[in-house]
Amino acid sequence: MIGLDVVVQALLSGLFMGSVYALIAIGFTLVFGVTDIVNFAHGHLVMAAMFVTYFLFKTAHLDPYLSLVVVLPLFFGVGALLYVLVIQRIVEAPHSAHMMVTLGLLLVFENLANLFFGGDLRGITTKYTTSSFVMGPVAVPLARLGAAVVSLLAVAVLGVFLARTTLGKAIRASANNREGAALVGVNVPRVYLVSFSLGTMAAALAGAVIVPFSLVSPFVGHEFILKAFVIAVLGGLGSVPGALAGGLLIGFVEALSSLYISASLGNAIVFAILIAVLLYRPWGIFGQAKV
Amino acid sequence: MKGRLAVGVVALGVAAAVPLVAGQHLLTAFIVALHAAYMALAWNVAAGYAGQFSLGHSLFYGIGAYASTMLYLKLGLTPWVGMFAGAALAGVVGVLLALGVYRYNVRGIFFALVTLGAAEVAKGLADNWHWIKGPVGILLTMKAAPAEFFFLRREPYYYVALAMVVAMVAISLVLERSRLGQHFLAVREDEAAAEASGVDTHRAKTVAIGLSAALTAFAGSFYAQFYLYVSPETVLTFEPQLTMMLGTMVGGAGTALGPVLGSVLFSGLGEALRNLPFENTRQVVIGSKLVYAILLIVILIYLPGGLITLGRRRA
Repeated sequence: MIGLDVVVQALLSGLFMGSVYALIAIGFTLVFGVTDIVNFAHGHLVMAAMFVTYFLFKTAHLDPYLSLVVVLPLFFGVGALLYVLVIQRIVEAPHSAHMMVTLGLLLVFENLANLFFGGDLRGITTKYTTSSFVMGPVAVPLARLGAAVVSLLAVAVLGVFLARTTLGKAIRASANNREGAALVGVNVPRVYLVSFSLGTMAAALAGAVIVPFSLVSPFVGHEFILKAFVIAVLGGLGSVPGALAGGLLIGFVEALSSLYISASLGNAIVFAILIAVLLYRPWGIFGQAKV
Repeated sequence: MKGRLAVGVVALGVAAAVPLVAGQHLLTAFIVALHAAYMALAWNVAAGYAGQFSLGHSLFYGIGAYASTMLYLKLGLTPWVGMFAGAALAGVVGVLLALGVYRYNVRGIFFALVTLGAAEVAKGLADNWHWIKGPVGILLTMKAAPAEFFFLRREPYYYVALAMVVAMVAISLVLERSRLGQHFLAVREDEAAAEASGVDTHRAKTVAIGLSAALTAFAGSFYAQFYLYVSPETVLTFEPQLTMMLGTMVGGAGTALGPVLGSVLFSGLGEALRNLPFENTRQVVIGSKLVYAILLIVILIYLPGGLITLGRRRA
């Protein structure tokens, strides 16, 4: 029998990882919602940011949270560059081309990282990597708590940005109806560029804050993109609040399934949920049918 | 037509003569390339001709690999026969998957995600299924038993792989000219219009997935016999799927020769580099993958029909 404190501990770690997953998925779903592009390379952008953060710590002894000052603008630029060089040229192409081109980007990132850094798993040890404080029956790991808090803050900031600012409203308008938005004077190409860059930045932020307690290798991106898919679909592709709820849900499912069933079945369970949702509610658990 | 037939015969003659000049290392590269070409062609049936962009074909590849291997180990059935059983099983699974997916009208990007999910679920189940040795995988013994699809030398594998590609190209050409193939194309180009003009689109899509799944399973069986090792990590990951897609999309989806062209370019050269005595083999192989990834992106942007359309434009 598994004790209640163990379950609470698992739920807590599910909550923490779920928050990070939510941020990753929101970046993914924002890009899809606006540009209609399924970015297979999204998880590898997380990986790339992890490597940058890792090397900033190793070479300049920059704390991962401080390194955000470098990482966030850098990856906004990376996103913009990717958009201008590649994505822009395939926006009008069919979905299959979107998938293949972004898969190509995934392979570029993976093999670049593998070529320069090798395939080994690397990690860093910060002062707080192993710290935790006891709260009631559970131990709260500091590094994971920090990652979750920053992720949720970022989600909130993004939410406010989309809801309140002119640019945010332009993004939502373009997602809803591209022609309509263009008609009322929204600079749609610029909105696409900004959305893709913001999505990239969200992935980078998530990557940076998990470095204190996660190992990085050129291949960790796969795990993140698979999670982002599932979460984005659960929440309804393109929906930011849906992705937040989906992220937390997947965090819990992952934590509990590794506790009760088997860690190696975790992905299978997550994907079984994905299939069920796609069959019965393709607009997502939290989304609304667009018919 | 006659000219093309002549070119085909010459190409086949050259291909048949390769083992006479190629060493065992280079021959391995050719086998890998032919195997990739076969897989790409099998995926192309669903994705290229019928426009059903499946990301879950590793599932069918894995079924083929495990079916022929388990039938051989448990019942002593020769893989020559077992591979057909695997194909039948994969075909049934493909049809069932398609029926489920199309029953709920899952299309486009969602279809791709469901099929990807199906393969991931299968990998998770295989990892936890003790009868097929879970993540440890199954090792086959190397021996000389041609009746059981085991060879000590590379040449027989090469000819089997070549025969599979030739058969698959023939199937593709027949399909292109058949009524079924026309229905596939109609579904791909405009499903609503196809439906309106009397094509049973659900049936066409289901047949496309089932046929493509069964054909893909043969590749899985070949993999098991060639590498003598089957595990979820080798046959049920995204890797086989990626091989199929790269070859097809680089060469040209929805054509009978494009996938061969793309696969030979992609796998053949990569494998040749791996087997040639370079100073830094690892860097060379990774570097070649990097070049292909960039090539893929450039081709999809500037030549969406694949390399095969280059020749067509000139003609």
